[in-house]
Amino acid sequence: MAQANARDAVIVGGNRIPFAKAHTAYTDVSNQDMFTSALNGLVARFGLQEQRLGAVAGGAVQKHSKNFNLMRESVLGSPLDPHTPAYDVQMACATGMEAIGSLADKIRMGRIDSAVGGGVDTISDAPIVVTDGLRSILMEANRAKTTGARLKALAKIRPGHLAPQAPGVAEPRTGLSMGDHMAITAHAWGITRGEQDELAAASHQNLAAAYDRGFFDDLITPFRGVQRDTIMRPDTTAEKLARLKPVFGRDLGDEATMTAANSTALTDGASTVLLGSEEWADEHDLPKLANFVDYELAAVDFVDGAEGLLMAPAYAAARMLARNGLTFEDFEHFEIHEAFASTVLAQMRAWEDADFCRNKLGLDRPLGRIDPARLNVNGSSLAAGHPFAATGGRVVASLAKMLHGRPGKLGFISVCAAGGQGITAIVEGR
Amino acid sequence: MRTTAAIEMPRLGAVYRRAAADAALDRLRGRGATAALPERRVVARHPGADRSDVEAYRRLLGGEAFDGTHRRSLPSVFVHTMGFPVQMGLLGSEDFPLPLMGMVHLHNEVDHRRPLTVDEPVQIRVGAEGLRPHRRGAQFDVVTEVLDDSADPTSESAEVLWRGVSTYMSRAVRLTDSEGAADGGSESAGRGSAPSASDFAPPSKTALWRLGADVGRRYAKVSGDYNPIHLSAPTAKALGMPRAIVHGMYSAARMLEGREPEEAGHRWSISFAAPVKLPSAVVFSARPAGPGATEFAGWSPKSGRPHFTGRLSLGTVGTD
Amino acid sequence: MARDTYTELVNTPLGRRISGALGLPQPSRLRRHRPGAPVIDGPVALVGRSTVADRIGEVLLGWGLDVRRHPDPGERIAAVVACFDDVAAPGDLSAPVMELSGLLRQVGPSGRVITVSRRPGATSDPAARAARQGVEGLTRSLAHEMRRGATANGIQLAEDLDADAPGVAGALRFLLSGRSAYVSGQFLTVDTVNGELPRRAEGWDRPLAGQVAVVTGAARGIGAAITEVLRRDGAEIIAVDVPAAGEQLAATANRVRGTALQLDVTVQDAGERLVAHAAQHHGRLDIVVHNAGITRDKLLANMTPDRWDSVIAVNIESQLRINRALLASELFDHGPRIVSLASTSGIAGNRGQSNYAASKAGVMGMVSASQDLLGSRHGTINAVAPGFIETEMTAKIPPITRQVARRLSSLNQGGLPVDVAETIAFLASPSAGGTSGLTLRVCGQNLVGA
Repeated sequence: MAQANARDAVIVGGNRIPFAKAHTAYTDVSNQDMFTSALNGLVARFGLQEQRLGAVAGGAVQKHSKNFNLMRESVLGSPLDPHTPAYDVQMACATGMEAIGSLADKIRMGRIDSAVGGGVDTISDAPIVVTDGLRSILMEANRAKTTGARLKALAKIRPGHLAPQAPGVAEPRTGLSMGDHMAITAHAWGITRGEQDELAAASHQNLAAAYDRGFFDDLITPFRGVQRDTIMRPDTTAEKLARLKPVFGRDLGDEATMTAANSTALTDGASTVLLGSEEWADEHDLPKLANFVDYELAAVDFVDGAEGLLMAPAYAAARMLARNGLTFEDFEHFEIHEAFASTVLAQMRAWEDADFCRNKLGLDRPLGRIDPARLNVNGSSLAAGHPFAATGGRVVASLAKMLHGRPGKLGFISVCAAGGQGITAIVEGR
Repeated sequence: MRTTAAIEMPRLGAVYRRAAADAALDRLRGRGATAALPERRVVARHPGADRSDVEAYRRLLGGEAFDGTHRRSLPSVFVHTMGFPVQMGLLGSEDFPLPLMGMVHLHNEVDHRRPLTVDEPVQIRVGAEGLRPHRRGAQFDVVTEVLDDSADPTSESAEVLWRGVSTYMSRAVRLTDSEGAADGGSESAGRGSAPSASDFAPPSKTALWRLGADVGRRYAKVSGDYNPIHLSAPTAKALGMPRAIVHGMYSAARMLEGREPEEAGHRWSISFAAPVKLPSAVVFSARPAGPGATEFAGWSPKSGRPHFTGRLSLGTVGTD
Repeated sequence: MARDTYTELVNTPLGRRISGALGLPQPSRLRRHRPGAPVIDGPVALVGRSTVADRIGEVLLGWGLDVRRHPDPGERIAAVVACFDDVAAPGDLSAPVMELSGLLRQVGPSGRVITVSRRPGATSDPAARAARQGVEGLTRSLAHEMRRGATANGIQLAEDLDADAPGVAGALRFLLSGRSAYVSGQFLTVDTVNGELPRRAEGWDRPLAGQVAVVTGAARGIGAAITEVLRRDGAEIIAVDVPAAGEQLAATANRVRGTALQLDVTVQDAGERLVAHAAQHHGRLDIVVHNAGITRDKLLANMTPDRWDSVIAVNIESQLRINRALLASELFDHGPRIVSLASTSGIAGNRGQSNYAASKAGVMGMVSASQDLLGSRHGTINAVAPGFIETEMTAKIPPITRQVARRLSSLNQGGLPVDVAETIAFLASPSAGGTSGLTLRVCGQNLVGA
């Protein structure tokens, strides 16, 4: 909430690389390559070469141990002043939002004047981990003082040890994939196949229209010859999507609704957002698109099914709106991250539901309906893709641009995350 | 009054070897099943759970570390593994009327009354009772009690810190009145009844367990239960199972992981239906069942057939 | 960029012996500009007795050069400035020409001959115009005869223009310096007293200090080289290219510490967006270099509308539209400079390039027609017509054709992107304020190229 004595945290702009379907265009590039490129584009767009920024923060959800200092290494590889400090943040799919939100707080507090927040993720170059058994043998061999002891340790390796373990997308405490979790929630809320497919088709059509309008000309810099998000299918329709078979919640039989098209595909990509104080932006002749007003974190107890895994933003929104004295009617644009079409629909359904709002959110009356015409108007993750930690930066930069030139108009952001977590945020045009 | 004989902590390897030899001998000479279980109980001293064994258990089952500060109380299933050799010592003894090999674990229920910690020496008292008909043979209960190191194991009034009842079925004997006897025919059968495939309606899932082919071997290493049916397909085949199956207590351990109170005072039960063949996946459900109580189920994602159902009741609230 | 391995080879001792024995062309390494280097290294001979000649002598002396009226025979000289501004009839050429002739063998590698005359079109007296136009023929022929990277060019002054005009010194310095390495056989016109010279000697190395320059098509090739030279000369850079070229564009912008603007120059509001970007990020706009261009080669008999229209749209229509927006803006109102990329194809034509040549000839037309519009703001507009330049584009020409094209120039080699960039930087600089409406070729006196 805007404290009377806090100054504004201004969103100056953003830059991302086009998002690419996993295992396609970016198979041979690393998280650091992608984030550095996004940073290079941001520096070029705003002429930040050799400037010392207050901080660069962000992260990756799928991260190699060698990338323990991913942000700092990316800064050193960029034209920014090497005296720019940087640190890694990790909050699953909300990594980018948390990085940006906490940087905005630092600016509002006067601790720093400028910052870059963002995130990156790659499935194509994800860290492959050896089995626990092999790891303990290798560590033992590494500790061995003599060749004999080393060979003795290595002799324990069995073929079974050598199977690599890809990082799981399953929730550690339930073993269920995120999609299967969402299928349970979607079923509980009665989200239909038809409305999910419509939302997915709209996402593709909106994103394609935004590209055609040139909306992304100053938000995206091509990378490795890729110029647009590769998952986008401009000509898709709900009718086409209706033909696909469900991939999640298949144990629901005929009632399974979640397909590969109304769920986000695994994606590679990186995004950045440039933030600053008003004075800093003015001194450096930089645009002031919008203010990052407030953000709220929430988590739910999903482990034994008390709440849906991806429903935390429903709770965050209630607290954030109350704190700012706002209702949904005060918002011009809604950016609800499409982890799955049903994620967006379930959150919206919950906010309209009197029982949920009373029993779970402790509200006298429902938060209300969100006008679909104000939802994800330039496309969202179903069409753009969702490189986990990079989604926050994509959303914040796009929303700030939509609100630019419309002083006082508000935008709402919701991003859900693994572990039953989520973030909501408020952006105000200027 | 039952006699209580002090014994050395049995070594499971020796027990299984003798059981296998007995099984071979039985096939040669045909063992006449006697209809009476031994009256005597056995008691053995246990030096206390070893810290590294507990850590190995944790690494297999997940959950938080037993750091002695934030998490001290041993999981019920770990306590079960401490008493298991004593159980087997009794069941594998020469005068036990039923062959150890081929026994099927039907049900388990545990009353975990006091917390137990690492390095805390205890006495483990085991007796068998309640031989009764089962539609495929006979079933009986093995009662395992954990007593304080200083308690008098011959006394009925000694405080029991942990009490577990394991119900086993043996096909080696048919009791005379077994015709038409349902599982529910005896006093404890209400709890011992296995979930039947026909009545089982899967509740809403809350988790999915992916069990690799090595889960049996890994749990054997942690629990000491090297029953060949859990170790590998060939060793399981030798005993008539098409593939290795998971230990029943592994399922119980995962069911309970993260849900048992540090201060103990809880009760839980598990009933086994179709065995979990390895490797495979198990769909799991945990759902609230009244104040302080949780009901569990595990079933096959492919067939929908139940593997087990269970229940946990915390504290004194809610009886089962 | 394609490497000219032949030029590299003949510049080794063995290579020089072999190519000499075989009578092959002997391209030299050209002297190119380096910041801090003297304008030219060696004595400058001055031919002519006019007041213009006297004034030029003073300018050269002011730059610390060793100016000689009568160099010693056999002495190596770096340049000859020959003034023909006072010729009234063809017969008047003889004396200065013979004096020049006597000096030519003394001109060293990458030397310069600069003729200075009045614009032929400025007089209607037949004998005077004949004499002045004679200087053009003389200069162009001499350019063909120059050896070892030396060039010959002319400066043409408006009829009554005083030799004190800053543009005269500016043109003189450009032609003497390594900045004009690949310019030969050309004429620089100085028509007005507009322009400004650096107040201090160091100012010649950073003539664009404090100015803001837009370069379109900046992602790679000649465009990227232009950004680097303008930056070196002190300008802040706005690098513009289509969004699809954004990755290279960002690299260009970061190299020159400028800003990148992903913009298709053919969109209707491209000019407004350029101005808005300049206003937001730089607070001013002084120089616009229209470098963005495409080729869609096809014989005219096989021409398709999309090939024709796209080349016209990018290469000339976008420039006209952007210029209108620039001239409507208050930001671009303080001695603004526009430099457009024309092409020698637009001058001489080129088989398969009717669309491209039309667009580039159109650029020359636009430039000459726009000089008054710019002049009213004390600004200039000029074009540069590159010849055969070693770029990614010319690297795609088949090898034999490419080698022939290189050797067709008087300098026996292709130019480099930096050569084009240097000329553009000069035309954008304050000292070139007297020159407008001109198309200057950077072609090594070659007519092949894009």
